Amino acid sequence: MQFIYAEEAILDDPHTRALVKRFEKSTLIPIKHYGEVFNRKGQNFRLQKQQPGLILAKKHNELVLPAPEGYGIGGKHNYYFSHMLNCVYDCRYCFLQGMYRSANYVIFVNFTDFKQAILDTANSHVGEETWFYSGYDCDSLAYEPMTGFAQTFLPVFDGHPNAWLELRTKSTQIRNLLQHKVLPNVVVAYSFTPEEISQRLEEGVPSVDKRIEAMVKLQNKGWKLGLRFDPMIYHPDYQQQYSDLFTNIFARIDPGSVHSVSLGAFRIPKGFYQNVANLYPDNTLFAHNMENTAGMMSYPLTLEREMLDYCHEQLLAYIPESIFFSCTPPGKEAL
Amino acid sequence: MGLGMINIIVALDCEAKPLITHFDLQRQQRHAYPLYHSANMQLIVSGVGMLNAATATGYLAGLSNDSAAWLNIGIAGHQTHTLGELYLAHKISNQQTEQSWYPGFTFKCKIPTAGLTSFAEPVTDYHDDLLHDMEAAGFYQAASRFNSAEFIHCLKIVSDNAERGTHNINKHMVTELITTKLETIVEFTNALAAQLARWNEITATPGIYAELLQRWHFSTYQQHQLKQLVKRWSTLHPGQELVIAKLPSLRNSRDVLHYLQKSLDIVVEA
Repeated sequence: MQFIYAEEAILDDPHTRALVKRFEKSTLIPIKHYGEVFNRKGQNFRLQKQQPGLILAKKHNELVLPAPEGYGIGGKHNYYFSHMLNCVYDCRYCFLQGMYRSANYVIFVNFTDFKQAILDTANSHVGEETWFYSGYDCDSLAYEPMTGFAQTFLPVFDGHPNAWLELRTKSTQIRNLLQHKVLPNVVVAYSFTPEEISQRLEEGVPSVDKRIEAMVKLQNKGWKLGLRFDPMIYHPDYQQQYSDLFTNIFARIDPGSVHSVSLGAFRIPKGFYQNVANLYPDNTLFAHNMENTAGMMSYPLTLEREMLDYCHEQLLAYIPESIFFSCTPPGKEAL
Repeated sequence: MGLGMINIIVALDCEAKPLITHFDLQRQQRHAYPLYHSANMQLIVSGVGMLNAATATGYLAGLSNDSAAWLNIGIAGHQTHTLGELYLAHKISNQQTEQSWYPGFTFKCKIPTAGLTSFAEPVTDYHDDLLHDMEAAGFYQAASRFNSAEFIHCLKIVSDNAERGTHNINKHMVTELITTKLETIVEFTNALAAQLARWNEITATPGIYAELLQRWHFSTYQQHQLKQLVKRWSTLHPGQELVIAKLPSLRNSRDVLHYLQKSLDIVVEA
């Protein structure tokens, strides 16, 4: 980490100090607002991903936001919050590379404000199942050793049974979870693609086996688990690949410890898609024709349906329909 | 498209001299600025000040459509840094407007970095832990229109500090300062050029594009579509060449676009 850009207003924040100390060899560059580095035009996301910097900032508003349509697992109210922008992994299908101009990591250090916002939101829906998703703008656990995010936020959900937390991740950084008491309203949800796809498209991500190993440890401790097969990536052998993936997972994961399984086809908003296609003209993922449905680019509908139907059927050999959730983009429900 | 150009902006002839000699740059006549070039490099002497640096940068950009990396090389003052030390700017600010720019560092480089502020007048009262110059902000603001931050950098050599002020600066000293750090400057320039070359290779348009343009008439919008389709075709057919002679008999540009579009459908094997 060659550079840390830190907002002048939070230089004395304990989280800032801890991170700066952690990266003591990095050059600290004071800035006024994270946007002047993160949001400026004229940045090359792909090149920056080779050597991202760290931006430390304070988030002032919209700490908790309504979750996008289709991003939910049955809760009456669904929200997401992002203590961090950008992911330490580099998955080629990820919408972040099309959405953000910068590949630098942003960490909002005002965790206290986030926690209060979550509590305020949960308290506005007393008695109603309210979900809070972390892992929308970053991996929930990959940077845990640096930020202590899970360790800090888990206590918020302790004693608030209507507030549920999903920690969506591909990471094996689960030490803090293994050391924390198990909370019944927290789901650690692992994302998967088949190993062959993962090796080709998920740079830096632990192998499928390593992720399953982490899940086994969490399962043994008693944590609720989630499985997220989203996005599904096409390959001519996708049926065999996904079948093998499911077999591999359920050979070791007890379906009884699985809270939910979600399935979603590869999809990306059209504007983001164009950005990524321009950044990665040499990647086949964005070279095939895709269909535009209500502003969302995805595989041709017939192919998408075929993949979803196949994998849905395969999954039902292991789990009941009641815990299965389809991530259908807006506009496609009726198709 | 070639591998790309390195465009260097310097304020003074004495800064330019060692670079011209090392890179074997030839003077180009009949330009608004002293301009030197080789196959892959252009150097322009802008004159002192941010406005001069900006206009010279714009002038250089107008000479070529090729993707280029941009370097401002020159001298700068600092309160405490030792004379002759070389720095890359990690933040460039305009003292008057308070605007700032942040170059992108995407490859390992051993040159130390520093913040740099450009002033409208020579400074004798050094501020904070910053390099002081008179061109970088103008250069950077202009160059930002022509490429991304990863391809725009400022290299500055300390020429004056609190102990030895600007009154000690002369042409020979400046040339000597640049010469002393030439090896490191060249190393950085080469690394930047290599990154540019890699990026240009990734984003290059296959040669068939030009051939297709010659064979059929495409509107401006169709040319844009054609470029995208040809690139995508090449990505999906690595090692193969799209050869006009092998295309089915296509009557016009619309047929060509349709043919290419169809060839990019995902094949679902039974």
